[in-house]
Amino acid sequence: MSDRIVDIRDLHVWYRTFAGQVKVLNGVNLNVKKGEKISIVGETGCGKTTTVKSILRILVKQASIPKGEIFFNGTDVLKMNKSELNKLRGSGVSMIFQDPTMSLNPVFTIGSQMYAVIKYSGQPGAEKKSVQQELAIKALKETSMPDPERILQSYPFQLSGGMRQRISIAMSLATPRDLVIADEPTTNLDVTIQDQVLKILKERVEDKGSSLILITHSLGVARETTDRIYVMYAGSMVETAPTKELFKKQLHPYTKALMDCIPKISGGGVSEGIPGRIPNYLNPGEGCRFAPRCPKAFERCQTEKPEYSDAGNEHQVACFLYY
Amino acid sequence: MNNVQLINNKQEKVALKRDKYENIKKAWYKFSLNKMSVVGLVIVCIVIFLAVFQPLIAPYPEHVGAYVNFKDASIAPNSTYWMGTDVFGRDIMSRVFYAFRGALTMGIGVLVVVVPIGGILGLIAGYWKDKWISTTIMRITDVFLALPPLILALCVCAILRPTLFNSMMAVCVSWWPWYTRLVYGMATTLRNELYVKSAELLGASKGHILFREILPNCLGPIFTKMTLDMGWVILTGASLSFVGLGEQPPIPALGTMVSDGAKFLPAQWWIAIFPALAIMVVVLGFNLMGDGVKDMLSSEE
Amino acid sequence: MSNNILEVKGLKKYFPISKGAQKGMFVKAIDGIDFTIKEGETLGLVGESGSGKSTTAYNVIGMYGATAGKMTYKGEDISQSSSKRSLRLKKEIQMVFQDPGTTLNPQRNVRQILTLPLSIHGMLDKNDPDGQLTRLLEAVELPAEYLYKYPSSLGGGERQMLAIARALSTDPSLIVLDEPTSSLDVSVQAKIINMLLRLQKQHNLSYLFITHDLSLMRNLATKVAIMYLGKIAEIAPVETFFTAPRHPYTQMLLSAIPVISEEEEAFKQAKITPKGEIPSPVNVPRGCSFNTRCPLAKEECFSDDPVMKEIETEHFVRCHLL
Repeated sequence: MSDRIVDIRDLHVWYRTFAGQVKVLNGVNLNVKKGEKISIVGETGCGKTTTVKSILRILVKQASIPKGEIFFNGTDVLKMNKSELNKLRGSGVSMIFQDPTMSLNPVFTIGSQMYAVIKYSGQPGAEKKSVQQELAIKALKETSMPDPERILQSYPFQLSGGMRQRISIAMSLATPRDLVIADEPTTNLDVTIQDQVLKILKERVEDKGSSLILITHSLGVARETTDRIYVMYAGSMVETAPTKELFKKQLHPYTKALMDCIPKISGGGVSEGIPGRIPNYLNPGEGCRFAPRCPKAFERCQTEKPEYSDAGNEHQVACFLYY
Repeated sequence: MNNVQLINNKQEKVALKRDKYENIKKAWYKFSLNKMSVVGLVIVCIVIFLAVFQPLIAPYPEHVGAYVNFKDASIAPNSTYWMGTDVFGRDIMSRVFYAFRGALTMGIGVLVVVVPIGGILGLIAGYWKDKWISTTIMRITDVFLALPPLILALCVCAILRPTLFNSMMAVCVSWWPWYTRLVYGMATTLRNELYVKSAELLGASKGHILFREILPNCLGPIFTKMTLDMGWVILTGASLSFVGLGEQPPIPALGTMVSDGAKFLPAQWWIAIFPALAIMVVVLGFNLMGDGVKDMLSSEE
Repeated sequence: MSNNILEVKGLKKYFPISKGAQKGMFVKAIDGIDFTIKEGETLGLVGESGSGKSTTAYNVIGMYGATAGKMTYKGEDISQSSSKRSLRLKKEIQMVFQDPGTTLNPQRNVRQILTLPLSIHGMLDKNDPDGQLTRLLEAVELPAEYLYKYPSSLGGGERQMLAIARALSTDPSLIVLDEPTSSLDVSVQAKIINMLLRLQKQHNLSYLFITHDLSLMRNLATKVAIMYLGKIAEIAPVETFFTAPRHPYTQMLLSAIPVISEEEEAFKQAKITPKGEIPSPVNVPRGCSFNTRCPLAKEECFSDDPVMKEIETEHFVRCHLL
């Protein structure tokens, strides 16, 4: 599997709280090929952010990984030492957060923050100020930022949300990266700006030959930006397929229900939603976590956890209806 | 309808109990995350226990009053007198335990007066739309903040008789502005919160908004400050009794014991040192607790 | 024959800038808008950030008083802020905000939150308060056991349902909803929207519904108004708005929505790429405020501000091109 940049196998992540262990991730299987753009689509609390934070190992200290493996470019991330991790975070992977105020420090100018990112990337010549400046301006120009020199002198509060997010993208792609992770990068932006930002993200990632993991709760955004979609529910992937294939045919009951819930611009009313709540991760039970809410659940679903089964066309679904 | 009511009552009782119990467990969990806070809590509990049960626990409770026994005067700490005796032959340990009462009374007494008054003024100053109300209150607060507690206490006790009550009053006069400031700062931020605005839009009265919407969200910093202030007020009280204000002899007060014993340093060191250590331990206990109280009341999950 | 519940004419709301380089100037959040809402109708208000849609909502509910213009509710003048309004108005017009996490006091439990509006307006059933509250919870499909829970132990969707229950408790006629489902997942949103529609039918409610999600608007509103930099660009009945929009801004926005099916793609307008950034509401451009981004701008768009024209029944557009 040497063409895979990220390979996550049966990942379990637990958080220790006063009430016990919160078993958030329940066996996540995910892989990204080199140059591929995938999205993880799921609702609040399903564990999408936990999954990608595990790749970078930036989980909170109450988190533990009792089972599972994460490989980045063939190397086991969970066994990496401090310097290897630094290299991973400095030049292997970059992350764009939903709220740009998290990645942009309000008391430093954009310039100083971009230079810092470039400096620690380990690029040849990156210690020189002139090289940093050159790369920063180039990166800003590539994200259609007007007047890059002035932007470098500005502080984050002087810029709009859309601009800040574009700067985050520029920062993450200023130096070559194998993987870019974008966690709901456009949720707080207006529709037209969102359109623009996603287009820029897609183009820049393709230019550099990097891979992309895009996290979103909007299937529409996933459809327009990525090649393959993973649908996630309550701590594991329930279905994955190439984008076109997934929109043609949804196999998992959750994916179907999710599609139904999305209001259509062509009219047709609003669906009923999905009854029930996401399970309590403290005592989630042994079976499929969607079973309590699934209209098609039967006995096996309550006791056993379904694994991936192949449905052809690179379409995989984790559901007992299919095996 | 009656059936529904009955079920609801039972459900709600169960839910109430369950929620209350959960909340206490959670609060304790947050508090105990910091080991030093638990140490502080233990210290404070021991001090309170000693103060309350002094007549039963202290080896020589009668040494607290007018008692002299020059035969046993100025004995160094030994198995009979664990902290030694003073120049009058009185057991220092029993007196220290008793003195804790005065210290705790001072702390509680001052805070019980100062927190409600300062808090209410702060709420009003922070919330009222009329600028002049908040300006008036805060300028008065500033004036009182400028008064040094010890000097004020000296003046008060010079004019009136020096008693515990009077020195408590003096400390109150100079302490309330801190709470006004604290609550004012919080109220000015909280009044812009959407839930306050929602309540206003619903037509809630000012009283409701101040005490039911804003105040409950201020309690965290208030209680934290109260915990730390216990230590500070006790220290101030000890300073006052050190200069002869506060409780008069023969009732033991920690500060008075230190000042009486200071003359005998370093030879009969135990007469001054043990009361001083007692002051330190009490203040330390409350300070350590303060961190835990802050964690416990913060709303991070 | 339903009559107008809310009539807004020439509403303006300016905020003075008190410090900085722009002192003395105003942020023209709303710069002259007109609309009406009939009984039982939903007016959808759409626009990007800076358009003034939230400010409009806040004016209707009374968080701000109008700078100019007039708003009437069932004939009564409501142009002032809520502190000057009668108690009856506070009962009749309610609001649901975007983020239930901040509109529900974290130190008050569900029971206290719901009792407040009832006791203020004297509507609390003293003999059976719990029964009354339980029925209110049932109306928004929340279980009775939630009475003693605190907002922090409820999920985002449940909190919003609680906020809706609170708004419903005083039996209002008009509810203003400012992006009530924007921070929620799609499945929860569907549930809440369904509930809102059901409640509207049951109680003959009127809604002023604000959202940036046009797909949602399509399935919810009776009439849609799109705002840009403080002015309404177009108002039309929902069918017309989506099938035959006339204003370039409407067309641009409709072309930018991410959709999930081929059928919707065909439905969407042809892609219009905006040029430039949204101007600041302090420095509104001369002439038509959209001229910096409009791909079809003519000469007069830069000098004259267009007026609202009724181009067909109930369909108003503000553009020189028509």
